[in-house]
Amino acid sequence: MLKLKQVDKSFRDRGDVIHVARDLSWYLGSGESAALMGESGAGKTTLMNIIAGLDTVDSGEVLVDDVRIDRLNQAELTAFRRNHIGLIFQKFHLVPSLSAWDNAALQARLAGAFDIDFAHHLFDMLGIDHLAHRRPSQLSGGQQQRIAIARALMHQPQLVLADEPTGNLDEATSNTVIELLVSAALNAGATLVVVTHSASIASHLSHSFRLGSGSLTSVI
Amino acid sequence: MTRVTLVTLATTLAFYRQNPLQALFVLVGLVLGCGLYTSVAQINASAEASYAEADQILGVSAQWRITDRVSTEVAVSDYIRLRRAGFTRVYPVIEKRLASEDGALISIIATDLLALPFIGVGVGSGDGSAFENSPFGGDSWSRLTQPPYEAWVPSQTAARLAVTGGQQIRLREGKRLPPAVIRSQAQQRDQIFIDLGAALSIFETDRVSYLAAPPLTETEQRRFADQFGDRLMLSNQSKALNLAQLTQSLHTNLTALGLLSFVVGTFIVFNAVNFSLHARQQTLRVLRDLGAVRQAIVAAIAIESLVWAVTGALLGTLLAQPLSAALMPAVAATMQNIYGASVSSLPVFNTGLFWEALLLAFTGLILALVLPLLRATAISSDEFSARDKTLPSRHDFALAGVGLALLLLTYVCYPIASSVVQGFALLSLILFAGVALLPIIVLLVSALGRTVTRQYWLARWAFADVSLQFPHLRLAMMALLLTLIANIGVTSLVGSFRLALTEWLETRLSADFYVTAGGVEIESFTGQDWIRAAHRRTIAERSYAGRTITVVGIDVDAPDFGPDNIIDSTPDAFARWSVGDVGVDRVFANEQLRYLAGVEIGDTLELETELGLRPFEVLGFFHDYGNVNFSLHLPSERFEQLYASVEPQGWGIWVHQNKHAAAELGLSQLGLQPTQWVSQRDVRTLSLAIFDRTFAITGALNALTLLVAAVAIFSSLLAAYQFRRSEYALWRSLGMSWFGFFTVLGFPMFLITAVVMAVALPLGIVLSWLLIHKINVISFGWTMPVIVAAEPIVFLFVVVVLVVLAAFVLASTRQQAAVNKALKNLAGE
Repeated sequence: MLKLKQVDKSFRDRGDVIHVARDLSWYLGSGESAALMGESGAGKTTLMNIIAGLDTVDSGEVLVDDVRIDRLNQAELTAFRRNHIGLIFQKFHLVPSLSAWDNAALQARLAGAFDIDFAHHLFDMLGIDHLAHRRPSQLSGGQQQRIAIARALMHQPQLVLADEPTGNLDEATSNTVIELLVSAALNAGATLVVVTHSASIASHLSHSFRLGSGSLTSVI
Repeated sequence: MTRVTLVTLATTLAFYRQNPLQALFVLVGLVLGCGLYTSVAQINASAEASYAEADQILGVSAQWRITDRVSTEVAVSDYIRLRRAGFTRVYPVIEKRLASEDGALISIIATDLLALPFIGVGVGSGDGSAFENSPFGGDSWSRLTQPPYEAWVPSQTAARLAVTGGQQIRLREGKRLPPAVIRSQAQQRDQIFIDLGAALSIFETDRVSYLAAPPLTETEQRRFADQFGDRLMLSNQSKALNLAQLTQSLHTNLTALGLLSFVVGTFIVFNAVNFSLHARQQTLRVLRDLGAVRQAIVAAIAIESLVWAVTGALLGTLLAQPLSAALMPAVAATMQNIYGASVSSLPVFNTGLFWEALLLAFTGLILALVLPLLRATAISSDEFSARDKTLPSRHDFALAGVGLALLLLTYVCYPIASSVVQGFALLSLILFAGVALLPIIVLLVSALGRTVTRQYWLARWAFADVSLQFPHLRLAMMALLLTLIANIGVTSLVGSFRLALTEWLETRLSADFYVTAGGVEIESFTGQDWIRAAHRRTIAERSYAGRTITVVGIDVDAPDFGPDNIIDSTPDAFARWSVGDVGVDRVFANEQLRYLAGVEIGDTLELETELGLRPFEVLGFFHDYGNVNFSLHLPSERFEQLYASVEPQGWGIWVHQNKHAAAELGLSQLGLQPTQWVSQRDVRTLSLAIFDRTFAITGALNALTLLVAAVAIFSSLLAAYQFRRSEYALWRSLGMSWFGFFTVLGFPMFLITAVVMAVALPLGIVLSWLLIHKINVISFGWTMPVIVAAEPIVFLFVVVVLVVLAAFVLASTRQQAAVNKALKNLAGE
């Protein structure tokens, strides 16, 4: 499902060259979940952006669902992301003018893949069906993140990427949200990558990897 | 405290290094606001300086004016008689307003240099030093007064007419002025100066417009009355209607447009300052946490404001120079055409205007700063951002209440307003009512749109985004609304005026030809198969309430004056006017007499006639657009009795259809020179061309205020986009195409613009109604029907949409790159 082959990525910061990936290869199969861990500044978010097609590689190959996304142009990447990838952010990033329902349905509608029965099923599973008509400003952090999870899954993508999805939540809410995310992603048959600092969060996922000095190591 | 303030200042100013565009917008708002206001103030000051000189001719006082009791001009022989009788300080003046060969308006002034009482001493008195030191000293006067003569053309007039030194200006009727010399003297304004001898020869006359004199003693006045009172009339110019007073409405109008630009400029500043302070909220919080007291933060912002204000005022004053120089000729044309006032087309500058601009810049900045500053120093960042999303608020409803109250107040105050300033206060109430009502209308439309389109998620989203974009755009849109209301109001006023003038010209100039040779007898026209009708027109000039009043003798069956031309009259007035009465002469008066001199139907005016002082009963009024004088229409039969010695001015000739060529040939065969008859069609065209030039100033100021509003929209869009950039990045991260992106992004802007136009339309019409029925009546003395023509309004709206589109495209072009960049940071946020 997700393949990185000999990926190189570096950038300059005040004269120093920071290597995010050095000849980095990685593989995750369909329905698998993985935690991507590492110190601050190790490049976790950059690697996630590369997988999501939001950033480019210096060299190497990035394949999602057997598509070389590193070769796609901006318009093709946008369309690919719309149809195949679900994104979850630390700060939720909901559209403030839309209701919870419209927020959750947004990407599915953009992709032309909105299925009302699946939407109800997701809302029911995430325990947010009573929040459908509320606006983001009327929701708590945990509720907003559950709406963001629903949005990331509603178009039934092959790959879900979550960047510190519980970073803005308290511990109890974090556990609830991550459990919901993992079960919902597995139910939808999606591959899930979660960027996190937390070992506790990582423990909910089938694999854990640590990014450091441009390479990935599996954490047992 | 000083150190803390300086550190705070250095820290807060760092924002502009990263966001130079915001700095540019603060400056643009201030410079445009101050610049437009200062240029208008400069124009007004220049015109007022000209009025102050109105009773001077080429630097010599012309406090007294001598005119003929019967004729419109004074015979040169009368002037000689006066000189011989000891009135040696009296000098002759010819003033003419003519059209050049290519239709440009020219003012000519001519006098006898040797008769000018320089610095109180006549040349003829023997003290030649004063004359030698005057602009006419040396051999200047001899070149001016001897063939081939010279025409002294002020440089600005030369530029307007595209005349160079040595060139001879050709007049419409074929005459040529002496060779031009580009130079001007004090109080010459835009007039071309030639010697009296040259003028008498060019215009083939032995009469002058009037005789002028410096202050006369009471003994001299009595002696004049005794010796010449039966033929000549002495009037004191300082007692005549004040030019400054007459032109007050135009200046108030210009000032209002200048202030409007200033208000719109303030909106731009407010937007920029608001955004810059909001963007620096975090910095200010950190500074406060690090020990910078609130006073130090306020002081730092105050210093920053001082720098902005001084820079804005300086650049604004600089901008005002070319701007007022560009606008001044249009103002001069307006003054000349509407009020008959000669105004220099060169603007004057005085330091007072700079201080005024500085004060204005400070006022604008303070107005723009108060709210953002209070927020920046008192409210937390989270509360601030939450505010933008809470819509509609109680504040919006309260504002709508204020708007309705202002409209009610306008309605209540309408009958009370009786001065130009009060009239303009009514207009401001309309403008501010519109501004106050706008937010609630936009939000209601947005809510309605969401409800109506609830089945369509994209439309629902686009409507919902209106409430997110509007807080950022509201000030710019309010500025646009103000501009549009004023624009529609003024455009409708000018359009109504133009249509009324056209209709008036159609009636008044309904004759196909106007023969200016008064000596032609009616017998000459009999038997000519091309003539449909021929009617004579005779005019006598008198004085009434300090103004010239023309008594016009009109044939009762002439097609250019009938019952339809009377706008207000007693029953059967036209019939009663036509037959006349033995005891009292019946007349129709122009509206100017009603509104400026308070004459009503049934009132009787007493005027000098050749049969002595006679009463004239006013039976009704007629429109007389653009006439600076009072006017009475009297049946020609009676006119010939009362003013027997007045020579007819000419004939109005109506010709049969398709007989124009035959008529021109016929007129030539009657022995008339081409200069002795004019085609009324040409006159109509020329009149409308002059009208359009007159109102060019309005068009120019309208365009400028629209430009300022466009800048306000552009700056607001940029600020809004910067503010919501991460949200926009999210849209893209979810896979939204650029097409969809710009559709959702652009829809709210165009919807709000549509609402602004919809609100501006009725309020603009109300404004034009007030301008015509209140301001116009108070200041000009005319009324006319309010005509709201669709074409100029549609054109204006198309321009607005294009302007908004341009602002949107410009702002959006910057968006693509910025959003792509923000996309990479989205996950890290």
